[in-house]
Amino acid sequence: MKTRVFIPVISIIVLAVSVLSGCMPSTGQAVGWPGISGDGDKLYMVSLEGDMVAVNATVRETHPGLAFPSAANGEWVFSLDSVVAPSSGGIGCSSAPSISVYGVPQLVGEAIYLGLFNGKVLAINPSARGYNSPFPQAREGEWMYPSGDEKIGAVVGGLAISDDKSTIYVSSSDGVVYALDAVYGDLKWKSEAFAGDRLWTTPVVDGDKIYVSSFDGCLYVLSAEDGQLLPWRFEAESGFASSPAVYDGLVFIGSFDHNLYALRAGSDEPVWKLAGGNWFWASPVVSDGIVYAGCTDGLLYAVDAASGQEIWPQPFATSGSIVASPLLVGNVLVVACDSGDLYLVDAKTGSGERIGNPQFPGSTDRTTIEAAVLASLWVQDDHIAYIHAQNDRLYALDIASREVSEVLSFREG
Amino acid sequence: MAEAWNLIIADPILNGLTALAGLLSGNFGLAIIIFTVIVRVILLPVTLRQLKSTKSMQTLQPKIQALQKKYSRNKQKLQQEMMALYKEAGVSSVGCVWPMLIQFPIWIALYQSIIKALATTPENLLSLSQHLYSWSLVQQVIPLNNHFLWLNLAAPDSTLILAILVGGTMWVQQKMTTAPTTDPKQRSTNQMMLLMMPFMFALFTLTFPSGLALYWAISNVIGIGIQYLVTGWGYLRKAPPAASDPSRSGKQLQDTPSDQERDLTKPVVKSLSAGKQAERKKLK
Repeated sequence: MKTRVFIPVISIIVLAVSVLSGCMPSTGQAVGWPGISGDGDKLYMVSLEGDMVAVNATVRETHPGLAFPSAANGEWVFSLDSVVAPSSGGIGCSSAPSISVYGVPQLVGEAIYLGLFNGKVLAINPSARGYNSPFPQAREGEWMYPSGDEKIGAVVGGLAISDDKSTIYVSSSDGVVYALDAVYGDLKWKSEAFAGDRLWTTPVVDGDKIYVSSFDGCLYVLSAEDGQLLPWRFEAESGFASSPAVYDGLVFIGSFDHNLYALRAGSDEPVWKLAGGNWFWASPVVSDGIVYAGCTDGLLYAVDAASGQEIWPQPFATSGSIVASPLLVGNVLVVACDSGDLYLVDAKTGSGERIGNPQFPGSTDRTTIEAAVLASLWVQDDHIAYIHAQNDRLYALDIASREVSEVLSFREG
Repeated sequence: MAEAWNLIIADPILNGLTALAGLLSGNFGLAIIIFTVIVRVILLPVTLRQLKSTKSMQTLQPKIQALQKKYSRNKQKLQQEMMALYKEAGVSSVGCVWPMLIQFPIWIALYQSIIKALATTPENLLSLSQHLYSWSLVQQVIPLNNHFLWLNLAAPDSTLILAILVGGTMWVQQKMTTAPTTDPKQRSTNQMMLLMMPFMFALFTLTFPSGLALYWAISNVIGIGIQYLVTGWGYLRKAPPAASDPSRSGKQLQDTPSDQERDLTKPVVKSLSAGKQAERKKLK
């Protein structure tokens, strides 16, 4: 009888302990994959621990062991935890960070704009952060939207900036697109025309129009002026996590339905579509009439923007899913995948090679970086690509020498 | 290990649920309900065996209580005798927990499926791409809508409705099968279990995605239905055959002697009455 009673008790305790300790896999915690942006010597990014940081890339290139942050070299750390109340996540993995960022910080003039998964949009002044002043310094153009404890839906995509740099556009998980004043952070308008469907992509500004892709499988067009929904929309067979790219009057976007679409606003039928082997998550990159699109099937496709014909004899194959958009530097594409491998691919021919692991030269078993690469890459001075991997380390890839090195680790210890 | 788990249990459940949602116009809540029904149908043989075991337990109650009375001071002997009794009657003392244990991997896989399929974070949604089959039914329904009735299936129910439903149905189901006992220690353990399990699951409902809690609630309701069809309301309404009087509270049971106790006390009562009658005669 005792056994009969205690087996369920023990089972429940095991279940409870598993959940409480975060041992159970897939506990649904957001970690983030924050991208990088830069200006001159400085790189700006958010660590997976939720700190906004400024890194002096030039100094670190010559002084690799320099302690971080080096205030003398203009480096700083700004804890986003200190200004944003963490989300109440209930019981879960206790080691998960409270601040998560998936987009790329947008640097415009003296301000860095940043959207958080925690439902906030921030304008940060690098000079004020260098002095470690309390946030926000309104006189320095800093703000937080919404202010106080209020929050909007989770921001997963990046922010879009109007051509005149006066407005910030952000789409959120609550199915709303917000237009914010770039200087004061005031709400200019918000569009709730998306029936609450999640918007996980970056809005794209094209003159007086804004393209917004949604989980409901529709690509919408809004008026940049007042957020009114314009009559045309395109409906794919499934939803979008990929942000659109606009080039030469066409809109390119990949979908969960495995298709990469080329669309012309106003037309119900796509100009062309290319079938991939899995989801298109990364936003396509378009240059010189060629669309480069990474797919979660691990292939990088190169397609003629006008005709939809594949340019390369075959798509370039990587060892994992491509989530970060490829980075085009001159005639070379820097491609990263979630296995941790980095590749340099000739944009014209599609031939390329994997970058070896610097700690295990010549080894084919080890990936370039021993952590997934999901965040957008950044190129500095047209010769070094910076990569923020999921082990919270910053790497530099010298495109000419094809060598990768660790710049900095944001993880303590 | 993780690959085997995904291949054999997690991925089939994830894809099955997603395909069901595809068939039901993307309604993931209805898919969970249909999935629950399917699981309960698959587990029906085990459930029926458990109910049979429970029914046999009911008929054994008088004998068990007699043994408890007889060996109240010798716990080891009591255990031996009870095991012998169970063996003789072909009853498994752990049989009743099998349906629950078998459902454990399903709960975990369902929990993972809900987290992945409804993907509240980009990480979860991204990992979903590696677990979905290439069926067009499955691919076209992604991303799934996580709303069902008042619930966000990917998040805990912020109202108490689902927690009460899960806790309440579990209590009813347990009450129907929890046999009363005269052993005070066993009785308090039973009472604790009767309250603790529903309370724990109600608590889990407040912290787990409501999709999983929906599974628990529907599963409990189906369980109550099956149990009712096999054994009736069981111990929820009536006393077991020839048992002392299980519907009484613990206090009542302590205050009032059981059937066996009454049998033992009858002569004492008779002799007392005879004594009183003799005294009365003397007084007269």
